[in-house]
Amino acid sequence: MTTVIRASEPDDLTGVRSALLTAFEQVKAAIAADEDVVMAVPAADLLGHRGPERGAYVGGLVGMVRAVAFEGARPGWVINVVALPEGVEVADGDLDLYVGAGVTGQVVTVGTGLLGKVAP
Amino acid sequence: MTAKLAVVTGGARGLGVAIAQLLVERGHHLLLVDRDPAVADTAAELSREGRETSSVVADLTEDAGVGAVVEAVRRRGGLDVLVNNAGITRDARLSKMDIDDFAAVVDVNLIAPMRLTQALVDDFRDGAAVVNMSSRAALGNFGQTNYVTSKSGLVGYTRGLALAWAPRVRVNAVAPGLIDSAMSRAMPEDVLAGLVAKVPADRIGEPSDVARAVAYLVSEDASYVTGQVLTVCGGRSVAP
Repeated sequence: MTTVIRASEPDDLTGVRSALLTAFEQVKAAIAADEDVVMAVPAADLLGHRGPERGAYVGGLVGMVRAVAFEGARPGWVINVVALPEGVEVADGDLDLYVGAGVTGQVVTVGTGLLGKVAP
Repeated sequence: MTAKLAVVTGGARGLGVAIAQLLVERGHHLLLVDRDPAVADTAAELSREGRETSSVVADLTEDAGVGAVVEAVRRRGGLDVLVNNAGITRDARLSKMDIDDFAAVVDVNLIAPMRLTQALVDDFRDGAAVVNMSSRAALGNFGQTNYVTSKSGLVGYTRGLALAWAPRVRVNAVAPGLIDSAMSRAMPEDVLAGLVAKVPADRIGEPSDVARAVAYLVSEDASYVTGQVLTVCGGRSVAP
């Protein structure tokens, strides 16, 4: 099973803080339930295209994923970020399709929108 | 050349002092910020002829602390450089890290610099520069989910703010790797030696290495650089 965490869209500091704390608790709960994790984020927020607050939030999520993957909950357990371009909707059950076997701690960016930009 | 005002948070000791010292040497006036009252002594030690150095004791996780800094900046007529350097660690394996450990680090390392920077939005002079102190650990590190989240968040904030404030203010980040500090000196000798062995530069970084990166980013030499992360880690972030 996989826990899907969909990024919210905080527009102020309180929202950023609250959303990061919520994600932390969701990840801990997923580990306790022995579920993998995939976070779905707007690709534009990886580089702060929709404002510094959302950039900070999604940047924080990416860091969280990397740190948690670094520790690893158990052998074979995975956590990743799937970054979706605007207008692309992916059902929870299909997000795993973008992440290959054995991939963990990675940011998978769907589409070509960030080609030529700094790799998040 | 007219001296510019630089505000450095976490300025009482360590990296903050090295950064402040170099900025003073390169002609900046200085406003040091720290919640440690020792910051006043540091400011006094860094003072020199022709430079105004002062300090504010402030907890930047509280509105009153941010307000005190804003007030001090306004008394000086605005600012040209902001270095968001203050930070803490509260390391633990994820299984041992509770929500308070997580929130405390996010509050100091991410939310506080965002709050201060935003509060100063009208006080930056044209051509000003912000440097946010991230970390090589933003790329991932063991036992630091809170710290990595905060420092990676700061990278995202840097990029977003650089876009939002261009062209008036440049915003960049510095990501130090293993740097000689009270924290590194507290490590067992063999552990520290093992970490240094992974650094292609074959030495531990000095605070002055980081200070020079900051000084570059706030200088005219970096006038075409914004939204970037300068990693100062002796090559560790690309090593096997």
